[in-house]
Amino acid sequence: MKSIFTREHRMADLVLSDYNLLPIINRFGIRLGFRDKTVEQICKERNVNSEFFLAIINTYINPDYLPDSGLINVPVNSIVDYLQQTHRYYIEYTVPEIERLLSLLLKSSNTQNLHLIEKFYLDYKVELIEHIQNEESQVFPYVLNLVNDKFRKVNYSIHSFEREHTDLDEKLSDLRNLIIKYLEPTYNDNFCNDFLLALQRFEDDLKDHARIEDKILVPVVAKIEEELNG
Amino acid sequence: MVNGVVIVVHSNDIIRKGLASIIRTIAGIRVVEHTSFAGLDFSANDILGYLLEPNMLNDFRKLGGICAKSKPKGIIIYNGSKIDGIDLPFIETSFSSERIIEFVKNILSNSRSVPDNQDNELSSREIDVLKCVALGMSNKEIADRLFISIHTVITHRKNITAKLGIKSTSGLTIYAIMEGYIEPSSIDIRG
Ligand SMILES: [Fe+2]
Ligand SMILES: [Fe+2]
Repeated sequence: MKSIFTREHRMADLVLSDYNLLPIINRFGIRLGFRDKTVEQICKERNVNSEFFLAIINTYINPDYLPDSGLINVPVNSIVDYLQQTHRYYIEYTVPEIERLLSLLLKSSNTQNLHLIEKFYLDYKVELIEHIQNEESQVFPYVLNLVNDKFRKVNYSIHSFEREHTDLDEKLSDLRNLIIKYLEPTYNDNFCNDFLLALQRFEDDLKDHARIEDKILVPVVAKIEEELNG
Repeated sequence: MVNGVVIVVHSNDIIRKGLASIIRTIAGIRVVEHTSFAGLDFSANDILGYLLEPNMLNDFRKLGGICAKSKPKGIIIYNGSKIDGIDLPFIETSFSSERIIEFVKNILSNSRSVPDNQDNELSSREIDVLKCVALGMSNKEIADRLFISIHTVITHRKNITAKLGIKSTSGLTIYAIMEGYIEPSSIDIRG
């Protein structure tokens, strides 16, 4: 298990430990130029809840790390805001970037298997966008109504979301497997490597994202529902 | 964080007991000690890994099927020096106990590097099931077509996924076309 970061760690050390944390940090509006400031100091400056920030960072670094009940104190609005920022990052940056790399790869090697891989990706993309749209148009509005206006939609609870919440990272891992094992060897090495790295990074990010939805958002909202019922 | 059993197999009592007592200090890990493979229960499903004496490796490989059954995350060799032709992680006798603990933890928590040399060839029955899956048939339809129970269909599907590393139905479909098991025209190709 890798180390767990605390408020007292320097923000620069956190970033130096894993550059994949950069887009995550950006979602909180935190940007480079840290000098020797600690996590706590930077969070305060940027008006970020440091407990929530560390929970997100630490779950990313250690998939098995789950913050304890302390998290219940994090404002639900911050959680939803972070999840929405992440969706935006996927739609505006990750997906176009993956497609740019895929089209380079396709230009370098015009084979049947690569076209099948493209088809698999395009079907996956439809699923990804539907998944995100459902959360943006159904789940998050329900949650925000619940917290901000104490308004509870009938016949719906966060557990319905939990039950139907599908895995988005599984097909990305299938995609990586198909490429690594069955690509015909006429492709361009560099394009293919970049494509695989981008897929891997997206898969890790999505896993972290789903963990935040399932393990942080769901229990926090379920507790609010309980209080409203009681 | 890791949870489960680590099996330490070493014929030298002092080395084995020493290694076991070091690894026992890792939270969540239980250690089972053996002097040889005789009487070892490989079937427990919470086996995280094995720590072996180098000359036991051949025996261990012969028992390969067993290894696949319990899916250990790591196999570690304990020895004073590196042995040619073996690319398994190594604990050297010069390692301090802290270093051994770090080393073992690292290997056991890193699920991406599973040493996995089992035979991944699909059986002919599994290929039958794969073709049906790729054609979009439900488990019930596959069971009826192949005259087997739904339970058996599910078992085949699990084994196919374990062998290929492909979990989704659409991924299996693409695989089936790539390997020529079904015609591209028999599925709906969008885009
Ligand atoms: Fe989401
Ligand atoms: Fe989601």
